[in-house]
Amino acid sequence: MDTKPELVRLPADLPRFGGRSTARRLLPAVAWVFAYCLLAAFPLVILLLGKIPPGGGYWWDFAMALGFGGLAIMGLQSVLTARFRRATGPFGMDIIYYFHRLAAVGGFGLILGHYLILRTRYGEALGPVNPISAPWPMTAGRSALVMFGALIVSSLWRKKLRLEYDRWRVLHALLAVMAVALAVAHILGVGHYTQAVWQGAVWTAYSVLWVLVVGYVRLVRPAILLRAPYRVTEVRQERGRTWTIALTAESHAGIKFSPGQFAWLTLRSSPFRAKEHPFSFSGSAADRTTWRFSIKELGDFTRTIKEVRVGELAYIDGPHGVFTTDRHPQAPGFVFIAGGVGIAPLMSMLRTLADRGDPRPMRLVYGNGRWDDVLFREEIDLLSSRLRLTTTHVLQDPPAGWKGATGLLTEGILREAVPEPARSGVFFVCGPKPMIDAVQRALRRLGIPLHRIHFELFDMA
Amino acid sequence: MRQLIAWLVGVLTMGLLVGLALLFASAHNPPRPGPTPPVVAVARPLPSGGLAAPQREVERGRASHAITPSADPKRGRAIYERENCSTCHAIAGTGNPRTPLDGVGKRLNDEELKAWITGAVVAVDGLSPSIVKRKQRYRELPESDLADVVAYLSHLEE
Repeated sequence: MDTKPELVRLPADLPRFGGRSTARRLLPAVAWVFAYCLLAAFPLVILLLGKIPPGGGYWWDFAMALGFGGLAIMGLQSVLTARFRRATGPFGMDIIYYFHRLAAVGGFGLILGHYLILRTRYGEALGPVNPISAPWPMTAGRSALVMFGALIVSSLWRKKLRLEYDRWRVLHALLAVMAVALAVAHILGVGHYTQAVWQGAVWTAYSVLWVLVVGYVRLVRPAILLRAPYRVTEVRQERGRTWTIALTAESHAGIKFSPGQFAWLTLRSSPFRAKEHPFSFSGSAADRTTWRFSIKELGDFTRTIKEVRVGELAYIDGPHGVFTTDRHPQAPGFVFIAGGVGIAPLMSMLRTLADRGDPRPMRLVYGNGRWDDVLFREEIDLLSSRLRLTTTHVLQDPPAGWKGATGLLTEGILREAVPEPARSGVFFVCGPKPMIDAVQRALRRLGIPLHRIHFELFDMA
Repeated sequence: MRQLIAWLVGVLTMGLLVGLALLFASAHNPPRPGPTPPVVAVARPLPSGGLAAPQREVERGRASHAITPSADPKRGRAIYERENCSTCHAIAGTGNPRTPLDGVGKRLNDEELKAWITGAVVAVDGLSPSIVKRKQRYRELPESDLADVVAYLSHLEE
């Protein structure tokens, strides 16, 4: 494989992140991080700027401030996950959700700190636990704490708790709205820091912001989606219990996406019911008439994909994500590493690159269980004639007489499948999380720098 | 790479908030000049009756406390506990330290104490509406209960 960058013909209407300089790409990211920190810190800064009343003791006031900080963080989570494309674009939606989990655990830690300091040092001030005899702001605060805890537990251990995805989403939204509302009621009810009109106004403004965001997510966005429906034109069975759904835009132009990106797909339901699931586009981005998703039967929802009928309406919220070859127009070549259905976004990249006549050298290392289950294996053969593509299949359960690589995608296999010249390319890895982690570690050992290894952080199953 | 940045931003925000919380606690509790007074006030044993104590208060130049002869500070303390007054007030370091009541009898006379307890107009200046509203509730307490609480509060040491 050739390491010299070649002149690449790219379409004129490449998505907005194509070809921008690093500085221009970093600037909005830094600005959004700054805005996030500012919004998180604002309630505390405002309290510091106001008239400072006599203290209640160092630990008391520290605990109070932790409570305010924790609630600001928890409230901001609704903004983080509202999928504002302008704000999430510089980072990638998957990392926003990853950060959402981190930040929510941190925010809950602050709120727990607030409670534990008060419980251990000022237990009497909390009054009785019994809601009948306890002052209501205290009961509101305790309930909010329990709900925030339930939010964290039900989200981090959803699968272990056997919570079905759609039910979990409803529970998540309900718990989040109630917990934040109760926490705001707790602050206003206790009243100590909201005596001044403007102090009360800060929390009222924050509450209004959260209500607006929830309103946008639950009402405005579904209404927008409803106005641009898609229609199912094909439901095709692929290898390995996987189905490809093809959609066409119903009297509108349809969205433009970059290969590797994903969208929240609503099938057999109204967008208002929020029964949407994230899937990568698997079709070519150069095809502006058909949108394809390839979905494996893995969970409760994906098992019903085969029941979708041609002619049904569907809704696409997207595109999202930065896992795309379009962000790397200067790349000398690409290395794609897939496990099972993780090939879907990589197929989108390969098909798009082939449609665009991309001349760069590419490698595909594709791990599967059985040869019969190798998704798109015939098309990959065909693509090899349209692209400078070399493919290595790796099977865990090879058929008799198999001469190719076997086992998992280990460092040894990757070293052989991706020889030295190809290692200067940009790497895209997609598959089950343990596979991504293992491949990432193996690539690091092979000397591939982190910034050239790309993967989605979603656990789509 | 992006995970690292996410962790970095997460830790940065947490650090910022904990830092601000420390600053907040310091700003509200500036170091006191001179020798530090004892942190925890010790509650004086309650007088058995209601009469001897007020006389002592007057002798020591405190606010006058013409406590109802039958008022019982011990009962007042029980009512104070029953009504969860410690969710907003602290005595001898126990309860909400924001509004300590130690030595309150030195600053307020019986009538003023009663006005503060019940959220009467003269006392509400500077209190939030929700607290004033909460205090209104204590107007429904029997007169004798209020007198007992006043008797209890008027004997609290600084």
